[in-house]
Parts: sequence; structure tokens; C-alpha cells
Amino acid sequence: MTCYFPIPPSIKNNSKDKILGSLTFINFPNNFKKSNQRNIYKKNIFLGTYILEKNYWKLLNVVSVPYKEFKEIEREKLNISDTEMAVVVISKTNEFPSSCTHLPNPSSLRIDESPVAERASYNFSYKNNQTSFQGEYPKAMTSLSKASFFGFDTLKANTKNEKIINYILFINLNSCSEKQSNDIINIFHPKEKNILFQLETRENQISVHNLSLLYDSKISNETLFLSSKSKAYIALILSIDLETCQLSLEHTHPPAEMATGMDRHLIVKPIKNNWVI
Amino acid sequence: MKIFNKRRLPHNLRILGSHILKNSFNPFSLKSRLNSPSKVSDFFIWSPNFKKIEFIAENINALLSGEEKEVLHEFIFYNKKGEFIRSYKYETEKFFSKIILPANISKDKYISFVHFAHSKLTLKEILKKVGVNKKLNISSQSRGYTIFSPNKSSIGSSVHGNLGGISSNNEKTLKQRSLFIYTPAYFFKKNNCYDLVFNNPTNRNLLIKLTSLSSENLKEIIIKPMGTDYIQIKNFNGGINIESKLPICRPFIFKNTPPNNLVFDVFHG
Repeated sequence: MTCYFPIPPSIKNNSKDKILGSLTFINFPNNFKKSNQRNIYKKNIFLGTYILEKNYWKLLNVVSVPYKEFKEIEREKLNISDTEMAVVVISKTNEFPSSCTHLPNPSSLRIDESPVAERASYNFSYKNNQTSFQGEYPKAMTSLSKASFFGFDTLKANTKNEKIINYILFINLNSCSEKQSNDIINIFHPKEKNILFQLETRENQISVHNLSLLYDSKISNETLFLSSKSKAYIALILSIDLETCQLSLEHTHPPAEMATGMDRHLIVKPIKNNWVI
Repeated sequence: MKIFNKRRLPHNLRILGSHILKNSFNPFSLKSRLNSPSKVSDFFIWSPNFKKIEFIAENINALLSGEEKEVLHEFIFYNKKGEFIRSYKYETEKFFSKIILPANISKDKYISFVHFAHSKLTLKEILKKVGVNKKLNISSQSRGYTIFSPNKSSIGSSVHGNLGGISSNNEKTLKQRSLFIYTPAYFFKKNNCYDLVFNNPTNRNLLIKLTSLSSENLKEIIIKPMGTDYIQIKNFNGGINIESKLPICRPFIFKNTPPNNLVFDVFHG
């Protein structure tokens, strides 16, 4: 399984400092059987960053990463907007099309069937503090013809004061640059199933929404459900306390994660039938 | 014409075939794949260094039924040697619950716990009720989140569990195999102090060896079954390799932990 890496957004809040998004890569496989280590790729890899320009993917820059070294790609240094889609593609050659309608196939550093997808560190920094998680956007998710999304917001922090802000980020990536249709995420209470809010999202975009501005005190500590009938997303919840600079970040599990075994996928349909509205 | 369709093979033969082909990489035992327990849990961390630890628990029975259903959330805590300490139970009907875990469970800096959601019906029975009738190889899996807070006013830092595959009758479905090397794509910085916390969800003692990317030995630890231990990294710039016989050996990384620091991070390596 190969992966793409959308660059996390930077987020303005009501202080003068932004939350800054970045990615950290390493030129080394994430997981392998020790007996296979002679097969490790030991040359430089190349990280090509693409942005959407009208209906095309446009190559913004390419950086080279030597074997066993790290490279951090910071959105602020790319001279692009805070939330526009920018995707990093790993390649073993420095041959990236300067413009294309489909993202180039990424290379993989994997050397065997060891578990764990190819990953980068997703980082959000505020002043001197940083929160991270190991993530990726699977290539298989970038060409789905039929998709939907179900998530929940229980990971948000309790908002005791206005200095605590909860953001939800919906990441949708399609390898085809022409896919840019709008979508709506419905937010509803699971008991009544009445839609309380609708958030605008789009294909090939990282949509950032401030839940603390949206929710009033009556519902801010309830779990609300989130759904889309037509698009798949990776949803992240990022909380910040502007006073202490504490950050918290996690992704919501897709329904298939709630089971294990050969038939785990069979729980997805009944759950989505109930909750994708 | 497609003459071979693996989906037409008998169910257990498919499992056996896939297991034989990828046996040396599979974290799960063949026995557990052929006869999956009704529920398994990830392996989560608890620490006395935090004043408040919450757990986000899913109620899969309710999510599948489409309405709130009674569930008994059970948490079972093990000390760093893997010995049972205590359990804690919490009853609710909610789809998702944010449960405050008990304090003063242990003085060990890090220990582990499992979580099970007990309901009247098993996952297979619930699936049958909603129209999934075939013979299933499936277990419900607790993949909850733990939120660590150094004080009651902190927003805390959240992290999901480590692959555990531990059944409610304490059967271990994960196996140690040959040596694997896991490398997080994370650059450790020398001005931070990190605790890399590991737990052992298998039946045998687990040896974990930490080296730098330049193969400099940093530390080795041996963790008993169901036990927990950690390796501290400070004054270190760079990446690390984690060598063990677990096909996935991901640590929980606690960066700049309380009580010395009130701003910190917890994430999966």
C-alpha cells in the first residue's frame, strides 16, 4: 500500500499567533523484518510537493532526502495559503511532472510485508509547543468512486472558557485534480438525529472548522455525530488552550476499526446505514 | 476469464492460506484467526503522573442497533510486572462515553489496562439481528482513546490504544515472531525529554532494544506478559530504531511529562 501526504493546514485563531502545520519524513522504512534489511533502499529519495492550480496539480518544489535523514516540510515556508491542498509525493527518482491531472504514483520504502502503513509525522505547533501523530493518506482512498463518512466529536476538549478552542479538520484527497465538487458534513445528535449544523467541505481540500464557535454551551459537552453521504474523509480533532499553549490532536477511527477478524468490514454497512444521514 | 477466485474458497481455507503465505509477518496467531474470540481489547496506558485520565469508550452494540443500549464498560489494570491490580466498571447506555478512570491505582510510573464493553448480545448476535447472517470471523475490538491531563483545568492530550488483541478471558491473540525493526518518522529533539512506553500483549517475555539510526545502542528492556516499561530519551537529537519480536512494536511517546512540565504531548510512535 502506497500513500500520499497532504500537508497539514495552518490555523488562525483569535490570538496573533497561528497554529502551524508541518510534516516530518524519514528516508528509512517504518517497519521491516530484520532479516530483510539488506533490501533497504539506501539512495536519496525525493519529496515533490503539488498544489492545485485550477484543474491541474502543479509541482511547487522538490526536495531531496539522504538515506536515514529527516526532512520537515513546513506549510509556512511554501508561500501558499493556510488551508489550500498541498500534497507530498515520495519518489525514488527526481522525475516529477511539472503539471498533471493525476498525481504521480508514489514510491514506497517498504521492503517486505511487515504491518504498518508508510507514515510521516503530522505536526501542529503553537508558539514553542508541538503535538504530533504518525499518519498518511492511503492511495487507495484517493480514487474512490463511491464513498461516505461517519465520525464523532467526543475527542473535543471540554470548553470551560473562550481560551479553549476545538477544531475539526476534514481531509479529502482525490488523485484527480479535476475532482473539486462541494460537499456537506451533517452534524447531528444521535438520539434525535436532527441535523444541528452543516459544514461545507470540498474534494481535494482540508476543511478546518472551529467547533467552539459553532456549539453553544448546551451541546458543547455532548457527543455529536458527523456524516457525509458522498465523500470519504480523514477527520482530525485538534484542541488548543491559548493560555497554556497545550495542544491535543487525534484522528477519529473509521467504523471498521471497531472490529477485528477476516469479516471486520461487515460491521461498516450496518453502522453507516444507521448514521450516515 | 478469471479461473481462480479466492473468495470462493471455504472460509477457514482462506484464512489458512493467507496465514501460511504471510505467517512470519502476521501479528495474530493462527488459532485466533480461525476461531476469533468474541471481543478483544487494545492495550492502553495509565500513569499516576496525571491528575486526571479519561477514556473514550465506544458502545458498538448501540451503534449497530441505532439506539442507545445498556453496556457495562470494564477496565482491567495490570502493574508493570503484568500482575492484575484491579478492575473498574462503568454502566451506561450512551453511544460514546468519556469515562474518568480511577486515581491511585498504582505507584508504578506507567502501567497498562484493557477495556471491554459487555452487552447482553455478542457482536455476532447483534450483526445477525441487523441482517448479517453468514458465519462470521469477527471480534469486537476496543480501540478507545485515553486523554491524559496534568490537572483538572487542562485540555489534556489524547492518544488511541496500542494493538493489543487481548480477549476478555485474557487470551493473547498476538504472537512474537522473528525480529522486526520499527522506526517512527519522528525526529527527537535534545531539548525535550521523552518517555517511550511499551507494553507486552503476548504470552512470552518481550525483549525490546532501542538503537539510534546510527546503530548506537541506547537501551534494552525486558517486559513480562501484560507488563509495561519505558525508556527515557533526553539530550538526544535524531531518530530511533526499535527492535523486537513483535511485528508491530509502537511505543506511546510521552513528551515533557508532568509534574515537571504542564505543557506536554502524548502520541503514538
